Formats: sequence, structure tokens, C-alpha cells
Amino acid sequence: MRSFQLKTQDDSETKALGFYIAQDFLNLKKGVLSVLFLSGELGAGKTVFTKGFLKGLGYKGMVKSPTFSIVDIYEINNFTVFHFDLYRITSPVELLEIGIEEYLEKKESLCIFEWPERAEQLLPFPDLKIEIKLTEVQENNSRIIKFMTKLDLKTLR
Amino acid sequence: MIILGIETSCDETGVALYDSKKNKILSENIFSQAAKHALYGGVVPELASRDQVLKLLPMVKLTLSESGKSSDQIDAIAYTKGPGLSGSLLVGASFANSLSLGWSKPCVGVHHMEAHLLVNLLEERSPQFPFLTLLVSGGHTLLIKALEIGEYQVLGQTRDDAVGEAFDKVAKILGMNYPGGPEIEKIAKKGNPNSYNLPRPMLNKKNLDFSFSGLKTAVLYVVKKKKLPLSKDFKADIAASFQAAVAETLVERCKSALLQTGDTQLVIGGGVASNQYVRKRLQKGLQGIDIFFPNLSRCTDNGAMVAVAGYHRFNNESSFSKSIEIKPRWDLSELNK
Repeated sequence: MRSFQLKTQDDSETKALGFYIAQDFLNLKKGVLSVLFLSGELGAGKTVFTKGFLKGLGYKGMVKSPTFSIVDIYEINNFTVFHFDLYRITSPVELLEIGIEEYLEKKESLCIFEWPERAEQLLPFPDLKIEIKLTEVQENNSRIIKFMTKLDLKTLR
Repeated sequence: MIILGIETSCDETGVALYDSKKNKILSENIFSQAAKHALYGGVVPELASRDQVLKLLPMVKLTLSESGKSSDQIDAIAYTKGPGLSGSLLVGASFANSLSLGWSKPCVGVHHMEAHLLVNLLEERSPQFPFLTLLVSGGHTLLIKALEIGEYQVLGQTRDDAVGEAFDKVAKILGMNYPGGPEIEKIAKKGNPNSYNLPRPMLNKKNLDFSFSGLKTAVLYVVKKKKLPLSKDFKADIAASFQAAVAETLVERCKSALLQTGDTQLVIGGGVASNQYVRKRLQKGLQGIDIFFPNLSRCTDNGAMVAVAGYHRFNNESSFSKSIEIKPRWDLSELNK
């Protein structure tokens, strides 16, 4: 497990970073990245990053916050991305009711979890863990983005 | 025709009986109400919020007994086929289809958003097709043109957070419990809506889409500059400024949409429609437009809307479901002929 840290200046850079990480992912062996954790406080930019990421995977439609729906599903060239937001989950049991195993077991798919802390004991160990943090107040839109992974992602080299 | 409607697409469990001849809901229950009736022998067990399997049977029993109808007086069963959480949808779908088999009554799966649109037809003062709908809730921010039953055009939607979600998250940023949307309205009454200059996202863009994530983040930045604990006056001012930004965005978007389509009727649905400040701003900002605010209990997810939509679907295509079918991902536009 290695750890990397990058700084983005604004939303568009955070989105672009998501885009490039996704492009790196497309060059990896199939199945090495199937679980991604995305942490950060409200307003940190988790959904912004995911928008860029899905665009990098080739998704052309709109990517919304899944807070209400808990999971949004994106189909991209026979590949499925499940974009979870566990913010509203109060007990891990709820995830079982939602049928979390079925999502995790699906082949040719990737599960992105925002707020994974809410049910960590039920989730598999992530192949890529990303933490987004706000910097000092004076630099409003910039973010520190920390990556933890075993994978060889070109953007992080 | 008497139709039993079952809604289980996300958090709520809703059951209702609709009489199409009278265009009236005979009886309905949403889970929280059912709990009050002490269905479980006066003790409400600690159910997880989506334990819909346990809720449905007693709720259907209760709804039937409240209406005075028996199962053989029911003509059809309607359930939410999608979009929604697959686990939740499956509960409603399997339950509805089992009833259908047991009672030998036809069963139809309906689109959750179409149900939200068609529930307006229940109101005493209801819009005539075609009309425009602004649906603003914790899960949706949509501008839809309803041309006729089964013919809908999504004109605009949120590109990130839903309006209600933005309210709830701003409340959380201000230290209130989630979801705290209604608390924002309360505290904003004491604040000055012009005290903070917050962005009106997307208003410079020509399309009819919305975006509220940037507004939420703008509030976060203002809050981060303040020393904790936040004072009451500050919370009131920032809440009022936030609410004003939201209201202005909604008014302007509706205005553009009405201009674009030439519609004169606008239905405002969804939980955010209960916000009195937003209501007033819409009424003031859209003079000359016939605005409809449906009954609030019909704005959030409920069984009545599913029963009504089910009735219209039977009328239109009598598509009897032959298998237990759900569609967790389902665009409204796929319904169009």
C-alpha cells in the first residue's frame, strides 16, 4: 500500500484529476480495481471527483449526487459503475437490506463508495482509497487529495 | 375501477386505495402513520428504516379495513417498478405480484416519476394537459413538461445535488441534525437574506438545468471563516441568504421554461414546495401564471400516486405484468410512445 498526495487549485482541476485516474484505470488489468473509497467532509468535492472519473471512463451523461438514491448506476460499454453514497445510512444492516452483496459480486463492475466510514465493517478492503481535504480557508477552492493504493496509476507516478 | 397502489422505491412504504370513478383516494397509509395505529400490538419493534417486508402486509390490511373494502372489490394492483433501490423495489414488486396471483387480479408496474406527475390529477383544482411541473425534493430537482399521459419531456434537472439535499446539507454545515431542511426555513425568518452574496449557480447558462453543489460549498466557505460556536444571528443570516439564492434560482429557471414552452400552468411538487418562503417567491416572481401546489402529503413518496398512475397505465395499455419486474434505472423519456 503506497500513499500519494496531490493538490488541485479548483473544481475543474479536481474533476480533471478524476478523469486522468479513470484513464489510468482503463489501462490496468481487468478486475484489479473493483472497490474505490472516497472520503471527505460535506462540500469537499467527492461528487466533483466522481464526475471527472466517470467522464474518464467514457460516460457521457449527467452524474448526480447519489445522497438520496444511495446508489446510482452507470452503464459504460458493458461495464457497470455503482456510485454509492452511504451518508444517509445509519446502521450497516440497512446496506444488507439494499442488497449490497449483489452489487459487490457483479462482474465487470466498479463500486465507488462515498462516506464508506458509515459501514466499513461490511465493505471489502478498497483497491483504491481517496481522501479529499479542504486546504486553508484563504485558498478557497483548492484541495489536498490523498491516494492510498497498491495499484500502479500513471498519474500518481 | 378500484386500484391498490404500493410504493417502495426508496425510504417510504406507502399503500393506498384509489377509486377512479370518484377520482378519490379511499384510504392510504405511509409507514410512519401505520406505526401510530399500533399494528404490532402496540409495540413498534426497532425496524431498520428499509425493513419494508415487515411493513407491507399489515399496511395493506389496515388500508383495506379503513376503506371498508374487501379484497374481491379491488380491480387491480399497481406497484412502483422503478427507478429506485433494487432491494426496495423488489419487495414491492414481489408483494404486488403475489397479491395479484392470490386474488386473481391484474397487476401493473409504474414509473415512480410519472406517478409524481399524475398525482396532481387528484386535486380538486387540477391542471389541464399540457402543463409544466417543477419537482423539488430531497431526491429530485426536475422541470418536466407533461404533454399528455405517457408523454413527458424533461426540460431541466440538477447536475449535482437536489434542492432538498442542499437544504439538508447546509443545515448540517450549520450544526443542525441531518436532514434539517425545515430548520433552515425556521431560522432564516430571523435573518437578512442580503447579508451574504452567495452564487446563483447556472443562471448565466442558457439551458434549464440546475446546480446546487457550488452553493452548498459557498456556504461551507463562509462558515469555515467563522469562529465556533456559530452565533444564532450568523446562522439566521446565512440561512436566509442561502434560501434566497435557492428561491431566486428556482424562479428564474421556471420563468425561462415557461417562456420557452409558452405554458401558463405550473405545478410545484416535492417536499421543498412546503417551504413558505420559496412558495411566496415563486408566486411573486411568476405573476400571470396559474400555479398549483398539490397537497403536501402527496408531494413526498406515497401509495396514492402509484394507484393513480396505475389506473392511467391500465387505461392506456393494460399492460398486465406477467413476471416480477423491476427497473432500478429508468429514464422518464423511455415511457414516451
